[in-house]
Amino acid sequence: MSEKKYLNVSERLALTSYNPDKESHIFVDTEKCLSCPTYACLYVCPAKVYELRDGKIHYNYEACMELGGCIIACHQMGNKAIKWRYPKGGYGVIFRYG
Amino acid sequence: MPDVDVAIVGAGLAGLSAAYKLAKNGLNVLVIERGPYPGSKNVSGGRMYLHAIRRLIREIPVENMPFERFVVRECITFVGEDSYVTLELNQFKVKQYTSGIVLRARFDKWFASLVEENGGVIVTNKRVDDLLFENGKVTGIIAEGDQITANAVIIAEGANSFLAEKYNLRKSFSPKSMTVAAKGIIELGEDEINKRFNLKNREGVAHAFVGITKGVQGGGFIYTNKDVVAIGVVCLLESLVKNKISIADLFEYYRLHPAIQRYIEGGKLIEYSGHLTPELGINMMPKIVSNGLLIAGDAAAFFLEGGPILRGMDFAIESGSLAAETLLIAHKRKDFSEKTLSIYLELLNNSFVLRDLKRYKNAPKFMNNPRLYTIYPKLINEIYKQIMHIDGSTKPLLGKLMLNLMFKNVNPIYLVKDIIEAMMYL
Repeated sequence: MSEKKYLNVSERLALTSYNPDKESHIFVDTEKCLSCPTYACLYVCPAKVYELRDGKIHYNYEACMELGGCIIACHQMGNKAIKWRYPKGGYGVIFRYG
Repeated sequence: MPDVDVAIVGAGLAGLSAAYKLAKNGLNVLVIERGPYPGSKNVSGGRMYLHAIRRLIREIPVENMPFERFVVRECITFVGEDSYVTLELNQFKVKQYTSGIVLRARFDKWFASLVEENGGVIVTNKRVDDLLFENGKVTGIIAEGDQITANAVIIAEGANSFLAEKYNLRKSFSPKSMTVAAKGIIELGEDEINKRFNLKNREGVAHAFVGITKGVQGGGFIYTNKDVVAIGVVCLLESLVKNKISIADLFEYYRLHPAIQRYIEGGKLIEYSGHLTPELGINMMPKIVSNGLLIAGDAAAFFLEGGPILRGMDFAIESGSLAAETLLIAHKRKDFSEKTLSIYLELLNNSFVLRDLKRYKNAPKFMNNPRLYTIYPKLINEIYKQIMHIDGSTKPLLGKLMLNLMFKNVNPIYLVKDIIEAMMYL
């Protein structure tokens, strides 16, 4: 990765190791998101798991780094649409440095 | 007979510290970790204050533990619009290191093997989903369908502590009380790090940055590891949302900022990570003792943020160690009731864990002030710039110059208020 170039989040995430599960550990009731006052999830996730496209929230659980900040943001500042648990043992993000 | 004496949820520093002490004292300990190896889910900025681990693991000097480097220089940089000012602390008669820099994926792996050498058992790739109960007492855990019974359970599963939430041991978190971090590992090589940061052997730098977060409450850090450099931004969750700034975008803004590029230019980003920390500490401590159950580390919200000081790892180690001490007493008495386990609270109260958390309980009140992240860093830069600027015109006296700049940038009433609050709350 060239050093001074802006790296978008997917370029950055390509450097992080994952063992993604087939099933998602994140569940979003995206209907609720339509009337969300803040879209708080968009700002608190370093992996940008959540994205607003064409007025709808899309989410990519495979990019999740398992912080859990989105749950707090969504439930306290948003429309309580996100359900989230840790991926099954062995799955998800695997930090080599941490 | 239960399967083990103590079951511990999570192989982070709190869980491993408890396991180490219990195993060393001959108890059957099982640590259950959801990651493929201990440390694989663990992220920290990088600096551990060493006092707690020194007391816990007496037979190994910290120099022989897998610390990347030891901090010999403390820097704080105030970033203005087109300049930055750095304060640097170098102490040259220090007999003993105060803090070490770690990469948790490496450090926790080592710590876990030390636990195993002492007879503890660590199971990886297993997620703990539930606690087992009998007559109102915790009697074990359920991990992806497998039941494991124990005399006592320690929850040390990190900041989210879903188990504590599930059993109503903690309140819902507030976005005012949690910070998120985005972190990057930059590859530079050992020699290059030594050259750029003017270091030798295992000397390291801890560097904090203020005024570099686009007005969001938070700051940045750089820690030198052995052959890589850790950089990152730590921000209050609520402040990100209110300012409509994404932590992911902010990270890249930070990485490419001249104040940061100065140190990492040419270095490749080789890992991108993130972490959630409970910032309010004592104000959001869950119920950490009940029948057959103790909570330690981040899961107990043992985390302290006081100005540029961030401490979680020494609290995790000490609370894990005190949880173990409590269970050793309970084991002798063959009584794991809430009453006996409340010894844990006494031990915590007499240790730096609760003393320091109480001492800094108002720090968040001070930190929750946008001027700290915008006006003041800028003001420091403007004052320094004007002092150093020479163009042939005659400058006003220093006092007048400073007062002029201060009054131009900040309402004097706020200035007085902020100074008083810093003295009262920090």
